[in-house]
Amino acid sequence: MASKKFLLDNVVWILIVVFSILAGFLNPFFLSEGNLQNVLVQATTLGVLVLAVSFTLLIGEIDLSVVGNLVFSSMVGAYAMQQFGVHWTLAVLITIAAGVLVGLLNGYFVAYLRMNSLIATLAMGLFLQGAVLGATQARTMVVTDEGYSYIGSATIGNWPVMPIALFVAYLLAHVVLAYSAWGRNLYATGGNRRAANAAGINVKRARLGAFTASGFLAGLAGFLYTSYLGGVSVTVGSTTLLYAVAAPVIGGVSLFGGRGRVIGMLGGTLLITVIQTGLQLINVSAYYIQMIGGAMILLAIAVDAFRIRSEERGVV
Amino acid sequence: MNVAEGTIVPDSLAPDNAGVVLTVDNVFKRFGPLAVLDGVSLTVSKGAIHGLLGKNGAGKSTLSNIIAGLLHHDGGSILLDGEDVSALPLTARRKRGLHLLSQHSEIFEDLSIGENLLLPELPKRFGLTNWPALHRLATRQLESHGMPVDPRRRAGDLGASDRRRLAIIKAVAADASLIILDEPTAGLAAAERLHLLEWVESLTEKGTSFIYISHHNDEVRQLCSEYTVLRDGKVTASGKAQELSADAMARVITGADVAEFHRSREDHPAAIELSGLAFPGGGRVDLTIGRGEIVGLVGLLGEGPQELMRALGGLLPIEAGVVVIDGYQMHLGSPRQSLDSGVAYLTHDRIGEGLVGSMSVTENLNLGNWPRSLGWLVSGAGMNRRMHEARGAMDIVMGSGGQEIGELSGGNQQKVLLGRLLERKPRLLLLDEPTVGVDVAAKEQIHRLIDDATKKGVSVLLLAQDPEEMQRLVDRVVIFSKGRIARTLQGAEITIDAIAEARTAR
Repeated sequence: MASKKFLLDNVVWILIVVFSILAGFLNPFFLSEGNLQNVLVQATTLGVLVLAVSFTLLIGEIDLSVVGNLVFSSMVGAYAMQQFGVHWTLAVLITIAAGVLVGLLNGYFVAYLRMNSLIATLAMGLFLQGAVLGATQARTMVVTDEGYSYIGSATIGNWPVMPIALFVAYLLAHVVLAYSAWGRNLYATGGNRRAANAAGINVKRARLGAFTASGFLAGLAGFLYTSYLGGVSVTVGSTTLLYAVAAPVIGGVSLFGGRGRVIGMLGGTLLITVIQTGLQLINVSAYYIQMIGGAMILLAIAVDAFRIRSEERGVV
Repeated sequence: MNVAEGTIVPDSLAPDNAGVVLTVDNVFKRFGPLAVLDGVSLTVSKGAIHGLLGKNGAGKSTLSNIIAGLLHHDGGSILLDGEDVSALPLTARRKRGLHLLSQHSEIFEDLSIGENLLLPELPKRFGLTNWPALHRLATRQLESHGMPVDPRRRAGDLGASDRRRLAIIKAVAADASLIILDEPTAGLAAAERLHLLEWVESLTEKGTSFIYISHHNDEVRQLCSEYTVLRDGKVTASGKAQELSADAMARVITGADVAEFHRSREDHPAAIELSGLAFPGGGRVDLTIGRGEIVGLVGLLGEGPQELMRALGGLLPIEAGVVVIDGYQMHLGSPRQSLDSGVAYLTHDRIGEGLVGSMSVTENLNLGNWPRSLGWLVSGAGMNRRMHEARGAMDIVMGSGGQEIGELSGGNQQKVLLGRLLERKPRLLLLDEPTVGVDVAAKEQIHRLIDDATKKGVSVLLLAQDPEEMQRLVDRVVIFSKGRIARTLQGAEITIDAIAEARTAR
């Protein structure tokens, strides 16, 4: 029984291994060092967005504005460099500050005005992406600053530095969520808001904090994304948002709040990235990748639902 | 009849089988090592109201759950209309006319009265609900059972006693032959209680039988034709209710129980002063509480006592007035401020408002009061040390601190909650039903823990449905009416009867 529980708790890692072997069998390049680098680089922006969504899922809410926020905050940073010639370090801070500001606003809407987070952040995301679309007239804003682009393009030895940002972000998120009082207050708030309140936790502030953290991470993702691409484009795929919501759930984060481990969020991110790059490498037509990706996510969630069912017998 | 040593043995219990609707024969039930029901037998006659009496934890609820099919028994048999239903599930027993209506009879507040009455079999036409037929049918049923209300009204708008009527009519309309009523008059005013009881009596004329569970001995003597008394899982008395005097009834219910905790009443120097306190549901309360004193609050639901506690605990706003503790005026606006001011509220709603089900036992003990290291990290060692101490001091039965809180029994969960509050070193403890859903042994332990806390100078406000529990613990009783303190019981005035009466009289 214990081993069964272990297997079910770590199903996302098993799926990663199984899919990697399968893809490697069909195209040996999949298992090469070069592709591992590729997967990790691809996973960085998505991974930070996944963390952003996860912070709000843990309190039983959701932030659908993360992609809009990513585009918006990176545009603000790029604009500051272009128009005012600010130093790139200041531009990074401006990018992240713009993300935090959006997060604070979302948090105020949800925690204090009691607006529904699903709709409020969906609208916020549409608003931000629309604003960028209008301001740029759908043109790509090119960032040429070497400092700003360093993390997205530099290598040490022949390894890209970008994944370092991914691992640092996840390590910090793990420490904050699992060991800090602030993080435990988020879990308590998500697990039972009334009980957390009665135990003396400032629930409104915890909820505001979760959305602010989400905004901070979306801003960070915006910086990483722009740094990697060398510019801001409003056309971040609409599927990115869906992947950013699906990944935490695949990794065992509860949509009802209070449950979820950081290692699972990482697993969800890597599984989705591995599936995407794997399908490209085995020459699946680009027109089918989205379909197969959807099917794989369904499968992962079905396995997760099986885990939940086996834990909660007799619950309708 | 033979009344001796608090036990009544009926002279002859040879029921003629034709007139019997339910026979419970030698039923056993264990929870772990504890025998909750130890060979219980009883018979309910057709058209009778059968009173089931006993203290909290005597086994009444367990027995009624077993009869209804919510719990499995470990031995013995249950015969409904002569048929052995022991192996049948709840739904099958309900089809045979056996209904259990618990204290909090479930109604769907946002559906209409008619829907509540007829669900799950609403009249249909072309596969859709036939509303005119539904209203006709519901009106007919309501009127024929003496409850002329409009079935189109929202069920949530009904008062407490009408909700209970609705639940009972629903059972009667479903051809119930036996309905188990668990404390149907709890929380009702005296006049409403009387009305409801007379109404229940009228239903027996149609041949429906009832098992009636109550704390109110007088109600049972008035209403019931036959009765059974449980004490510690055994039948200590049964027979015809009219033949039993009030004194004898009280004696067989209580018995001579040496294990019970009794607190000695003393004088307490004043420590906490509430003056002119106003809050939603109550106004202008003035109360002085002594150091180490336990003050019992009594009143109808929604008439002040619980609201006062929740306001002091920071869960309801304080609209006016002053709280002074040891000479310092406290500002209580949120649970956090209350806890920081030394005022700790123990909720009656352990699952909904007390515990975080997704967290471990240790985390629940430390919730919102995390021991810190480096200022911002939670100290695992600190949490474990508190867990170890609480486990030893409160005798919490558990596996490890890392297991989920939901795996603990109700009594042990309650100790974890109490431990969380005591860790804050409160000056004033607000106990809202501290032993709700807790087994007898844990209840006595919790009473001792409360008493220990008062010996260290903690003052307590206590709310308890069970008049006996209150009588045993309190130094003083404050009776609320319409949001204000109406009068106070002190010293010899604090009797179970006086408390029970104060609870229901306006």
